[in-house]
Amino acid sequence: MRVGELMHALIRNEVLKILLKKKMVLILTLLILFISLFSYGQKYVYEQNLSRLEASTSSAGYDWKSLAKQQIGDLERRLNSPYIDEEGINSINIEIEQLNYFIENDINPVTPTAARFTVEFIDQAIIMFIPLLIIILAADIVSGELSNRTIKVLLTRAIPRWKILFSKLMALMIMSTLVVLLVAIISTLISGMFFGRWGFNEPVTTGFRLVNGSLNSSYVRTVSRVSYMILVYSLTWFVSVVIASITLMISVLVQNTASAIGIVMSTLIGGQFLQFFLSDWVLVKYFFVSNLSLTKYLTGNYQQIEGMSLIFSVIVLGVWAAVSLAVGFYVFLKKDILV
Amino acid sequence: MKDTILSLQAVSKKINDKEIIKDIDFSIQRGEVLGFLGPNGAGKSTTLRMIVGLSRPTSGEIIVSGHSIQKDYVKAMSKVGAIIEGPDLYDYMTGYKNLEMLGAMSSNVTVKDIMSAVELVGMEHRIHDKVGTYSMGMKQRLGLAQALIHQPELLVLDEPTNGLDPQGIYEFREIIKNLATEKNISVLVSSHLIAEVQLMCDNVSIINQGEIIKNANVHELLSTGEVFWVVDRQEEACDFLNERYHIQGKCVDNRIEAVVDVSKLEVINASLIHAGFKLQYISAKNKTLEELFLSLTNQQGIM
Amino acid sequence: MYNKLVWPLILIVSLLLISIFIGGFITSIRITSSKLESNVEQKPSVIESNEKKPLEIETGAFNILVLGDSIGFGLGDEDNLGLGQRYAKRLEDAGAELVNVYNQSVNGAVSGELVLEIDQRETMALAEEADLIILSIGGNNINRLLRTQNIINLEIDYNETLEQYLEDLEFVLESLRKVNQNAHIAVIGLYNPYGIEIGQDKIRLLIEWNYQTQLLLTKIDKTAYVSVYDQFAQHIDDYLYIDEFHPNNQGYEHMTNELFELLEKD
Repeated sequence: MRVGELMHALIRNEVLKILLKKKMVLILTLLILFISLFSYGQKYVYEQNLSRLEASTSSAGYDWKSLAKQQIGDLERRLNSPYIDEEGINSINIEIEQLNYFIENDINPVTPTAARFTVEFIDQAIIMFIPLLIIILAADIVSGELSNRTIKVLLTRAIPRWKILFSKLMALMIMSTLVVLLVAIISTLISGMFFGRWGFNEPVTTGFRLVNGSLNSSYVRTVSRVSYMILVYSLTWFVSVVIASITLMISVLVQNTASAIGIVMSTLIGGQFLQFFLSDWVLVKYFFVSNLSLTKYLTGNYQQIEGMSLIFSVIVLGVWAAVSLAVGFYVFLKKDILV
Repeated sequence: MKDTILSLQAVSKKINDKEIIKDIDFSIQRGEVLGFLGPNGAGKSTTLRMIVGLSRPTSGEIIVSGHSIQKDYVKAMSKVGAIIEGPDLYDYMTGYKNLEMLGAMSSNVTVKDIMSAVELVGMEHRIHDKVGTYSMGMKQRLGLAQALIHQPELLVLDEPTNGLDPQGIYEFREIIKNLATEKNISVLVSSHLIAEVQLMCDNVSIINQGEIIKNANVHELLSTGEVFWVVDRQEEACDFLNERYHIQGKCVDNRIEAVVDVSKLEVINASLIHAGFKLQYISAKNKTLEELFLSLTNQQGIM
Repeated sequence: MYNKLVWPLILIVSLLLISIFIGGFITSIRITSSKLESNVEQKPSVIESNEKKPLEIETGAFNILVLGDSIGFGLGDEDNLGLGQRYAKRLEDAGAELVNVYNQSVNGAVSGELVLEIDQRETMALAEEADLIILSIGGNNINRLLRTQNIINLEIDYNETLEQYLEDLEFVLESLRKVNQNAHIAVIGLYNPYGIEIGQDKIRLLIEWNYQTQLLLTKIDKTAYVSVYDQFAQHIDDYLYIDEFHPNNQGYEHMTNELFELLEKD
């Protein structure tokens, strides 16, 4: 057996352990519960708003189409203005395109759709809910074997320790990727069921850039919903991988799984509070929790902080992950197993 | 040197400036069963953990089948099977799955190897049940099976009969002795059950407070006893014993004291009488391992 | 079963996904940072571009310049008059001879765009000759905040937006004063088109906004702040256009009243 085959067998073993411990079942259950709640909530709010609007408008009823047409008219007039620059032309054309799409397809722009929900859900969930799912997966990957002492039978084999930990890391990567896929599938399916609309053909704007501290729209462009979803979920995947690495390190350092979970969760929660100091205290933006919300850079749904951009956050997260892995590996390799 | 399966040379371990293992040396030959005896806290488990790579020695070398554990871990460990204060296996999997999974981690374990190990430990009937449902005895057997599937040359067993009933202990013992004699596997067993060690092992090393205080051959220990004769013509008798049987006797008061192979006592006595000596009194007392152990360790106290 | 079926499936699916995600990841980074050349597709303007006529400004007449956003433009005015025209009509009714209205408002404009506009030669020329400058700006700056669901960062966001707006407004006013020391500059305040539904917090922000505008105007002489908040609040149903956002005839007429009373009675 060559080295590659051995590593393959190790990873296969580790994935089996994760599956047999029924982690994925738990994660799936949590996902279904949460997403159902959220979808229902959004649908409820939408229907409330709709009935309120229809009740309050006097005669014509809620006529979004003529409103949209008027908005298009305004935009066209602005295009006509001699003072408009390239950036403005671009973003205006895109808005017109979007509005035309809604009119042509007879879709009220505020109607919730599965495609939009999936992205909005991740935008909110990426800070805490997704990391929670990953922690469930990863927290006991080493500490569990220490507390039930199976680590001995694992390490008294003709395999160097680093390979054992590496196979665990790879198993985590594989399963985290699948978890992200599950989130995408479950949120699309369930919200689709609730709203009755998929909405995958709607155009989407993205591409806001931070230039000199303000949002620059000249590179804004439309992409299809599906590609947008893929982009957003790719960022989610990156965050999952980072959280998995950090959790792996904690699992190595702390013998006890419950403590491991406690430590990572409280770090996430504490980090949220630190956000309030984001604009004043420079150090906060180097903390990994402050940079978890990657999708906001795509959705444009945020407020600019000096120096923070997607590249910046990605680098910060990458460094945290790399350092965690280095520490985790070092400790694991040197540790005396006393259980 | 090929037949020295395990060799520890000047191995020490320090924790927080305290030396818990002090400069120990011992070795095991092919097919030998070595018992590692010591009171609780003497350092047995620590030593065994260092041999299998669970802990690191602060200094010294550990060599298995010619490969150093520190420098050539993979080659060294490929010949080693171990049970360390176990057995601790994955109880949400079946016994078979456990073995399959662990076997996949070696490069040469086949289904046949697994099944023959299962047969050897007598677990054929329950091997496909979840380990969580096993009794202690079954878990121990499974533990032994996982140590055997990759055809090791050395078995390192740390308290392997913990929690077994006498029947279980007996069966375990028989399996070990069998492995040593028929398959020429060397075994290092640590235990605080002196009786067991006496029955199972060829040699013993006694460890106390991190040091090896005695190495002895069990057979010799059991078969030799402290004998003393009360005869007339003491000095002549002494010379006689020395010439004929190479027995170094000590003349103390009216007695000749010596350490003698007890099974030969009949013959010796007969020849003394035949030579004309008048035998007044003979006393023979077997040394037991327990006595030896207690006397040695009591002198130094327990760490 | 696991080894032959489940595991290969898991491995293949995850490897596939990982490559997709890595691709998506790299694309996301490129979208938000590096230079993309052929992205700004110069779509032909939806309307054919106008030919700009050279401007002739009558110097003997009373010249009104309207600057700013859709309210300056007069969007929602069913008679298609807007503030400028209505005010001119008032003056004419009161006996003025020749009144000219020049409207440079742009629908949807925010204060930043007004800053750019102010620099243009044409606007400066008009400003120089103006006797009255009517300014309506800021509504589009704050509107996003009034509509947002994100309340966590609202204060911080609002403070930044307000600061930027005041900076822009000050620049505009000073630029106007530089070329014209005599014209009155009237700035129209904001009203609340949404009613009490948006909540106390947001209403407070809106009122604060108007207050800050007023405060700024005190720094520059011959300026007037036209308050419309209270009356619009009282007559919300009557003063709004069918888009429930812009003023209608009555709304504009009311604004003109306020303006007229403020300026003519001093």
